Parts: sequence; C-alpha cells; structure tokens
Amino acid sequence: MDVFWFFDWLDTSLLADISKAYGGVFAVVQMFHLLGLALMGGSVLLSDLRFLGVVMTDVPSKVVFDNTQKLFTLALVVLVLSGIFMASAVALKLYYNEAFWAKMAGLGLGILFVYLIRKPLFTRFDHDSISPAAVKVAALCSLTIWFTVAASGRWIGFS
Amino acid sequence: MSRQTLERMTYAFATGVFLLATWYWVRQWNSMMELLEAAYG
Repeated sequence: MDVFWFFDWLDTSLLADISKAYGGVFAVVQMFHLLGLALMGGSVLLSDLRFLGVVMTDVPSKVVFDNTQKLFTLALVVLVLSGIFMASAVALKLYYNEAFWAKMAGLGLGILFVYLIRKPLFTRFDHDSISPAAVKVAALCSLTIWFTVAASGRWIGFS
Repeated sequence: MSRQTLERMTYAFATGVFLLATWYWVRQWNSMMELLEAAYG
C-alpha cells in the first residue's frame, strides 16, 4: 500500500504552511512533543520497572499500572497530534527516511501491544493471579518496543 | 478474553517483538559503525 499521496498532501497542507512559515509555532509544538516523550517515557519506565520488581515494590503494581496507564494514553495523544504537525514541515523527506518508518512500525506495534494485550491483561485481572513470567515478559516487551521507538525517532535526525 | 489467552498472546507477541528488535538493532549497530567510520576513519 503506497501512502505517498498522504505525505504529498501533508506537505502542501495548511499545517505545513504554518509549520514551515512560523518557527515559533513549530518550537512550541516541539516543546509539547518533548513533554509528551517525557510523560510517556516516565509512565512506561515506572510501570514496567515496577512489574520487574525494580522500583516502588512497596506499592501494589495495580495502583502503579492504573495511574501510569492514564498518563500513557494522554502522552500518546499529545505525541501523535504534535508529531503530525512536526512531520508536516518535512513530510516528503520523512517519506524517504528509513528511521521514520522504523519508528512508525514500532509505534504501531506498541499501540497494538498496549491496547490489545497489556491493558486488558492488567486491568481485568488481579495481578497476583497472572503468571509472574507473563508479567515480566510483558514488561520487557514493552520496554523493548518503546526504547526502539524513541531511539528510531532520535535516529531520524542523523539520517 | 480469558487470562490464559492474554498470557499466551503476551508470549507470542513478545517473541515476535524480541526477534524483530534483535534484527533491527544489529542492523542499526552496523549503520552506526559505518557512520562513525566515515566520520573518524
């Protein structure tokens, strides 16, 4: 499936006009993108390291998960919205950028994992009833996905 | 979905992710080395 038409449209859209013409607006949106990254990174690290028994072991994992999951969703919305705006400034360049597609693939996998598996598993069931191995594998899988997404995002700047 | 189903899905999904990530990071490592070599010889 070729999605070039979308990047071509984005490159000439009103969003692109604004992001290319007003550096100040771009910088403010970028600031929200970075805040979203911090929020998402924080919520992922906190919940996954709790599942691995590294941090906050005196707090029930259910409490940590429920609180960080809300922040994760908020961060994801902020990141996607600000990301689309930032991408509009360099839409055609991104289309040909391998690191960008690695990031998008990771993001897609991450969203599928979180909302199809991780959230239902840890929201619907008592954490003590879940196999400890499954809890740890889920945490490692989540850390792997989001670290790769973040690193690929950074790599866009180098390629 | 039952707990057992979600646990099995976790294992299957994670296996795929770990394999993909290993392939990707080996590839990235090679790219990084090439960049460093080009920059510093």
